[in-house]
Amino acid sequence: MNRDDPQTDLLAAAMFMVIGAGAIWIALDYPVGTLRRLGPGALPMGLGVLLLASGLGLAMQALLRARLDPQWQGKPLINLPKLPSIHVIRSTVCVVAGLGLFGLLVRPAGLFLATATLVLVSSRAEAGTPILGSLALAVVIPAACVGIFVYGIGLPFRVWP
Amino acid sequence: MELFANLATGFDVALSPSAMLYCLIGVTLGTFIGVLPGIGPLAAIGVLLPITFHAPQTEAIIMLAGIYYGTMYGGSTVAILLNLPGTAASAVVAIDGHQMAKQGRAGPALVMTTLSSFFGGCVAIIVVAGFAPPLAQFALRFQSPEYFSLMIMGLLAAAVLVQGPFLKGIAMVLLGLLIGTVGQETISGLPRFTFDTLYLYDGLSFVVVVIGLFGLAEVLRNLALGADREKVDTRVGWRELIPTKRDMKDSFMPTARGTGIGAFLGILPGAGPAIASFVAYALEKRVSKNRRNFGRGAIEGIAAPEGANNAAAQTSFIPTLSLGIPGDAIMAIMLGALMIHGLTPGPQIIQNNPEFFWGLIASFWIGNLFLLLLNLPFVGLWIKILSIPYSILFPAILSFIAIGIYSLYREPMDIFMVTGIGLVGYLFIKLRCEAAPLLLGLILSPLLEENLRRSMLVSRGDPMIFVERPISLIFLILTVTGVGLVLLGSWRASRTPQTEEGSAK
Repeated sequence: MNRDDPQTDLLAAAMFMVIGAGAIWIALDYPVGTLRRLGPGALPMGLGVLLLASGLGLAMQALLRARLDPQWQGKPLINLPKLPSIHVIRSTVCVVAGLGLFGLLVRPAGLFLATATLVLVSSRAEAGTPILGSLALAVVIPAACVGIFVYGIGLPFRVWP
Repeated sequence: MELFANLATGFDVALSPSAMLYCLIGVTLGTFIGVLPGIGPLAAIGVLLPITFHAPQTEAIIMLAGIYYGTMYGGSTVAILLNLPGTAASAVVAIDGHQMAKQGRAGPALVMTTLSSFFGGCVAIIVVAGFAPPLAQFALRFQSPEYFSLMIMGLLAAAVLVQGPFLKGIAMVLLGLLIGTVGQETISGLPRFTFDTLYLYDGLSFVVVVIGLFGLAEVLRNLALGADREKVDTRVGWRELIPTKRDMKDSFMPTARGTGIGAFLGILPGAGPAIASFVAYALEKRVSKNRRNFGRGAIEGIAAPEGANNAAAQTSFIPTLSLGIPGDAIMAIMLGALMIHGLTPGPQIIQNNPEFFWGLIASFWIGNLFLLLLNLPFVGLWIKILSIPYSILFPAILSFIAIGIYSLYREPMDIFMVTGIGLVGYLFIKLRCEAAPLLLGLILSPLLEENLRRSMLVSRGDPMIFVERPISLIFLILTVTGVGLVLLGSWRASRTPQTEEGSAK
């Protein structure tokens, strides 16, 4: 495994710098106070600055390493990650959609239907799963969950709409 | 002896039927999840965390502790039988353990794992019982500058120990601290980083962050791997289960040495079980008579790290409970769970909640005993779990995550939040940023701010207060030395080609 890959480190550094700069930008609105009486803005501001600095340091370190390491000679360092494959997009979308629907449904539709929807949608993440299998899971898993959480632990959930 | 009187109080609590039941549920669930490949203790605790919140306070923590060492046992089992280490700690055990399994000696390897862990656990309990109260006594003298420096030490230790560049670890700690400031500020009531949403006024719930970063991100990663996910061959050859007399004799001293190392390293901030088992293995490799067999199925190579990681897992409760400063991410979760249950970890906890404190310690022992009983006869069953296809497993895990989170506050927004944080966690994995230091920062953020502010008030704005007070100075010196040593070590390692690590994989 390529442990210290400068390209990945540069991307991570960029992320840290963006978040650090964003934190500083927002924290500008908060009173910093004095050294004796630190205001609510002191820590966020300090952390933002440190985060920006570590991101910067990480970027420099990655660049330096790339320059010293013959393996990276002449290769582009800023390498935008490839677009994720269809498979990755599909699985991520299914999981996110499943959880989102659970969040939307759990109040109006009750625990059973919300969990069934979550299972049905998320189980489509794997292309190989037959639709009948998904349907079966969407009955068995919610039933088991209702059994464990409502009857086992005794949580007062509304199970049905 | 006060120690034994205290332990007796503890066993009174831990032997109550409800405590034993929760302990048993905890270790069983922990082992179950620990056996699943790709789900380490952090993810396991993340997924199971909400369940524990519905138990009474002492029982809840006992159960959580049970889940923790249950996952460690489960992890070792899979590491040995299938060479699928789920955690850094079990990666060490896999080196010799899997070799033994290949030679048809999986039985003795597993039994030895269990026995060494049990031994390590038993010794560590005495260490915890003996050390935690005096440490708490000592810590009663700490004031805000001491706490501030201690937290800096813990945070930097966590940052230093991540794989890859040191600055990445630092940045993750800072990010955690920053996320910890989200919400209404305690003194002025000013909302910080809330983006004008009411939802964020109370800050980001730590459970949501844990489950998103560790549980959900792990599911996303496994799904994205798709066909590349490791195929598992669950046929395990057994010849004999019981270790021979020679095995026992060969293992005794390594176990004892490993336990000592583990018990000591567990107390230090940032170290924890993973480091303990690496160090124990490395030491054994030097001192053992049988050192030439290391890597080829030496039973010493299992006994020492197993004793070490279990001892460290338990002694790491010492700083968490008696100082209120967690040493690693798992302890940070424990701390968060304690606070949700209205217990304030810190020097006072032993005096104010003796039943809780000693009950928890006694439950370690009982939990270990359960594991002994659970693991030996049912190893075959645990292995069967591995043959559950992921396509069935992950919808079930997702349902657990969703229902678990919703059960806490009945807040659908939490579900959306955990989904978002899960995606961020997946991004962290892709960028090779370990999320554990972030969690430590998140938990310590409010404490750090409070103690920083108080110190500055006491010193009238003079930051020299942190080096003028002797105990605080000692913490800072230890921090600088420790970080320096680790950086020096990794700098040296990067200049010499890695030989040993390559062969261990």
